[in-house]
Amino acid sequence: MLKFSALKSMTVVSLLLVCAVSLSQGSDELEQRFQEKRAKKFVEKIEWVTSLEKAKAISKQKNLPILAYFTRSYAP
Amino acid sequence: MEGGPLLSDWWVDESKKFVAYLNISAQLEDKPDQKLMREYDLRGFPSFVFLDDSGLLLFGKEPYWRPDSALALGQGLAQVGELFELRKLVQQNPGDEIARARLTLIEGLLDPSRADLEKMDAAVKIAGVPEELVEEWAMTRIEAKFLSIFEPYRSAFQKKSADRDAKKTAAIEGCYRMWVAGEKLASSSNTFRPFLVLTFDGALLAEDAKVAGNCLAMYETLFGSHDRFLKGMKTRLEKMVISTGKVEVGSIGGGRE
Repeated sequence: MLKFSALKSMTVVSLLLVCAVSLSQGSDELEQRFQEKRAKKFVEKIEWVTSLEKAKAISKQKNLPILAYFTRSYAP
Repeated sequence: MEGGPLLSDWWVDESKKFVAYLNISAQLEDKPDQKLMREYDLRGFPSFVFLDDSGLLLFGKEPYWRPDSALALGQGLAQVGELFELRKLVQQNPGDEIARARLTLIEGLLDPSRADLEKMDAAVKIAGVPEELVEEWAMTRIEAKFLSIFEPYRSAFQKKSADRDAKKTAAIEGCYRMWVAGEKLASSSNTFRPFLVLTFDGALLAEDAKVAGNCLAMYETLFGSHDRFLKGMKTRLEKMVISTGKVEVGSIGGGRE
């Protein structure tokens, strides 16, 4: 009975570890994709602002509209 | 876009006319403004929209806009340019009544849900205001009035606020009053369905079988006899009619104005 209980605990711990590693890998991959997007040529071409609050402040200061470009990095 | 137009010389030149804001959906919570797309109810990638300094969406959502050429970008800038010029003009000349009235109208027409009806009505009376703005406001006024009634309820409903029932009552009473006053939305309006449903509910609350019947008949004509809400609406009208004895059962839903 004790052995079964220990085995059960080990299985649960293993499963949790697998999930954690898997999540971490997924998150690392998403981070990598995000950084790849940020490194694209179009980003360097002009001065992009990446915070809307900052964009609003500049817009107010310069009396210019904000052109917001929504794109994604998690999928092509 | 990223491999073509956004690398072009015209894009770089024209970028001096706006603040370029980049929002990358990354499915990572630590990245900036990850919920923004949902807040603006933008559903597709890529999306390009113009915003003002308060974050108000000015142009680009409907119709969908893509600045994939100098011409397309110029057209978008022209849509928002007048607004920014007017804001500057009013700031520099606070006594310029015509400029102020034009600004009030343009801002209100851009976002009818936030338009101040009294200010808009006063603005169209200022001599020298362009006729097309006056005409556009005449067409939009009823829609703006409906939105001023509907938005508080919609917002309370979405946020599951404790006062959402009270807001609903205010909305259905407001819509019913609009209908009775002859202020009816065009059936082609995107918001006609909620207007019709709320008016119907308002008519039930007021025990006005005629208006409720007319709403129901119009609803069935527009949305079909198999609409999932229709049966429930008919039942509720029947119950109201029976309990108040206002109209003979059998004539329900058949009335037209």
